[in-house]
Amino acid sequence: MTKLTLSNIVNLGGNPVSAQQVINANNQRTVLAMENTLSRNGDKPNHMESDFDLNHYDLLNAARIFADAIFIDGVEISSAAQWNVGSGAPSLSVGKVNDFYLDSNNGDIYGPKTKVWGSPVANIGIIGPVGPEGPAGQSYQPSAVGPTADRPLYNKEKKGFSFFDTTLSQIFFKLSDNDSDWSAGVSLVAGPQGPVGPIGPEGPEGPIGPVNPNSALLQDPSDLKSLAVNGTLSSGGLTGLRTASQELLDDYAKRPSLNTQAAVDLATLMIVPPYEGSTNYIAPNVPFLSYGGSTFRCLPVDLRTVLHNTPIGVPLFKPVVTNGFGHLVWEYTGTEPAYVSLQGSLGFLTRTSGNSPNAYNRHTLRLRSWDHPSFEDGQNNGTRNLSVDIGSLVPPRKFSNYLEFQDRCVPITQALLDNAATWPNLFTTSVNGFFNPGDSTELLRTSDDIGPIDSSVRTTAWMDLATYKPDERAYLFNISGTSTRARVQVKREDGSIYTYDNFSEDNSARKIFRVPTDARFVRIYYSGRGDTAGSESFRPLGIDTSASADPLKGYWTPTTFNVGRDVVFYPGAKYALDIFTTAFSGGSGREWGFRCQGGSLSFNFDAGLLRKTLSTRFF
Amino acid sequence: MAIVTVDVVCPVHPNYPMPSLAYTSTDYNFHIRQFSSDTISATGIVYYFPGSGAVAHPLTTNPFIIDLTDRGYIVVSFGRFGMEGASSSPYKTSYGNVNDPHFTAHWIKSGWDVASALAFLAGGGSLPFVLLGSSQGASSILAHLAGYCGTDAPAATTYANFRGALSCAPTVGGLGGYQWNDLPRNINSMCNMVYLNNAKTLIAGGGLDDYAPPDYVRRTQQVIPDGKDTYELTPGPTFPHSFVGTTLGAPIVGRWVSQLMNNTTITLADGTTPAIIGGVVP
Repeated sequence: MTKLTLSNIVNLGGNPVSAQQVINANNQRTVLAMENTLSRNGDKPNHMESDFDLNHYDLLNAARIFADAIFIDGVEISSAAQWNVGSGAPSLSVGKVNDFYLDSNNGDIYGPKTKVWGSPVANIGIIGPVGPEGPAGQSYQPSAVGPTADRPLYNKEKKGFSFFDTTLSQIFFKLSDNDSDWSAGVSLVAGPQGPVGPIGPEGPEGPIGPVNPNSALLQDPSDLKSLAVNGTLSSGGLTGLRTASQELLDDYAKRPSLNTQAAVDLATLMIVPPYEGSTNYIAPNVPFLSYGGSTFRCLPVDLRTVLHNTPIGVPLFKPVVTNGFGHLVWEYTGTEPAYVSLQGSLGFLTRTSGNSPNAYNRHTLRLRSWDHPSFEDGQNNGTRNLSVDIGSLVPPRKFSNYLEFQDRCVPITQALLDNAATWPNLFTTSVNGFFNPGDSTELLRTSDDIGPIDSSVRTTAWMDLATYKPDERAYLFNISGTSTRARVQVKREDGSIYTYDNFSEDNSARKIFRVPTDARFVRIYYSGRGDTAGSESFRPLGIDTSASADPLKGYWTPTTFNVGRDVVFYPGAKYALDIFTTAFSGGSGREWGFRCQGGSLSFNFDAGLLRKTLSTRFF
Repeated sequence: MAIVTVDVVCPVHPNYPMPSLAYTSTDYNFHIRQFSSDTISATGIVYYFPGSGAVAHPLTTNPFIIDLTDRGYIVVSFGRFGMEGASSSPYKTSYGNVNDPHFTAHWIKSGWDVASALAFLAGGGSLPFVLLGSSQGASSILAHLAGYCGTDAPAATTYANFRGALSCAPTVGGLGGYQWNDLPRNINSMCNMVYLNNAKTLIAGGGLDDYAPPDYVRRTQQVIPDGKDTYELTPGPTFPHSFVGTTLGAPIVGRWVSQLMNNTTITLADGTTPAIIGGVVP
């Protein structure tokens, strides 16, 4: 539309009045038109009273645009773009143009929105759980530490320098590079206790607790009526009897009460040889036993019946022959044959010989029996091979030292005295003094709890073992008179001294001595207060004799018996474990030459065997 | 009346299983002290085997010594290795201490203590005798009667004048020290000996016993087979482990010893109610 229409002057000379009127009218129209035209330098904002149409031309160099509404391509932009968050893909109604959307389910980002959301344009992932707490940082280290008097030494240090005053237990910081510009001291003592924090959120529900044993009877308590009481104990039943010390209470409480135990028919018989731990580190006696017309190497064992779910044990075997380490021959007490699977493993150290480094042995573990049914005789009188250990592949070796064992050597015999007499006497003289267990100094003690010692308290001078080495020799200390001390001290090649406590005793020193293999010298405190020991001689024994007199001498090798064998035990029959040894290249065995390190043989059996033959009331 | 004592050195039985070949039984001795009244003629002998904690024989003022001697019995107190007058223990650094896990071997040697005393004293001659033990000594009696000495029959049963045994709180010290020893194994081991014993035996436990608590006693009671002449008794709910030598316990012990010695009815601690054999309801 034309914004200004002016009239032409047709006859300026002929009709000046009319021309003037036309000019004035044009001027008025111009003024009015200018009023309706955008001003480029107006002193007030142009005021529009109708639309402003740029006719598809750009609006350039606008500083800011203020509008009630802005439409782009026909769609209103009523405010700034916004983030919308929701679960799952956004619906069309969510958000406006140019908005963005975060799908909190998977981290997908949509936008900017046009008329529709379209596909996700990015993914930021889901915020993971809080990571583990990091390692503790290093503790604060002051730049310098010292007493109060030292702080001026650091007056010229740079800003940030710290000094820990050990006198005041305070830290001071340099506040600037200026001389002596220190902060006030900061104490390292704990501050006052803070206010009580808010009550925390309620914790998660705990796991389901144990069932009250008294409400979980697996065995009819009325079965126990058959037990006579014969008086009143501290409690009338088999439960709740708790009169022991707290330690005992704790141990006792670990096991269920009897009347909550299921009656099971499963039982286990364990056959356990004495092992290193149970013998306090001395070798058990595994003797040659003559029994039932045979002589054999017999392994002593503990026989223990385990009735599952109860500590009660009832013997399936009873002792027939025993020694100080267990049952040697044992008799089956059942009234019916027990067909069982004997399984297990026994680990031994076995001595191959006294002084033959190339000797080796083959050991066979056998189950001997007597008084079994005749059809069990077979060709070996019923003896069953249980396991074999092949010895030729593992070279035997000596114990590197003896410090882990407690074994004593054999008693002095005339034969040992005769043997020792053929070797030189290493004893030179005695010294007035003594040492205590654990002593490690050259100087002997000369005073005890009573006071200064007298001349009866004597220790041998150091005796040189360089020629007769302790790894192959035992030594016979022969004395007359009385002796109440037998303490051994060793000096190594480097001069260090220690007491061989494992072989030190406060009884007579007249005996066979073992000395640790790292000993270059040895001395023995042999005469205590009031003793009359004299005529001392300390002589090595021959190498072969030493190997017979000292249970730790000789060559040893690991031996393992792995057993898996079906066996029948017959009522009234006797049984024993026999170690049958075949020796090669000078091998030999001794009764102490079988040191069990652990293991057992066992078999499960039907506890009904016991029910049928014993009481019906103890299950 | 006064109580007189006689001390005797008792040799170790020649078959005694020493802890290793380094020890010979001929080098060791037990010690026996005999207690008797100076006015009453002896009618029986009580062989007393103390617990592992005993380091000396009981005193003449001990209530059970007084009670038994008053009843006309000679009390022969046995002192094992390490006790007053006996040899030092060869087990100090070797096999066989009370915390030993290998109970069977422990009881074998303990059973030989009883055999040694009976063999040395030849069962006391013609006088009837009863074996009395407390704690480990009570267990020694059971081990002996269970045949743990092996080839030899239980020495006690070979004597016609044997009247029975009173085993008071049989157990062994160190209960609960699981490194070596634990209560279930102790019960298990004791059950074996209770079961194998065929002699007339009274087993007694106090209600406040820390070492053989009532539950322990009742479990061993469960394994007494039908037909065995074994009684489970209690002096009462308030008696401790070592009740034999207490003022209240001594007369009960003395009465039970007397009932064994005279083969009369075994009663409860009240002295009147007949006791029930083993675990069998009559």
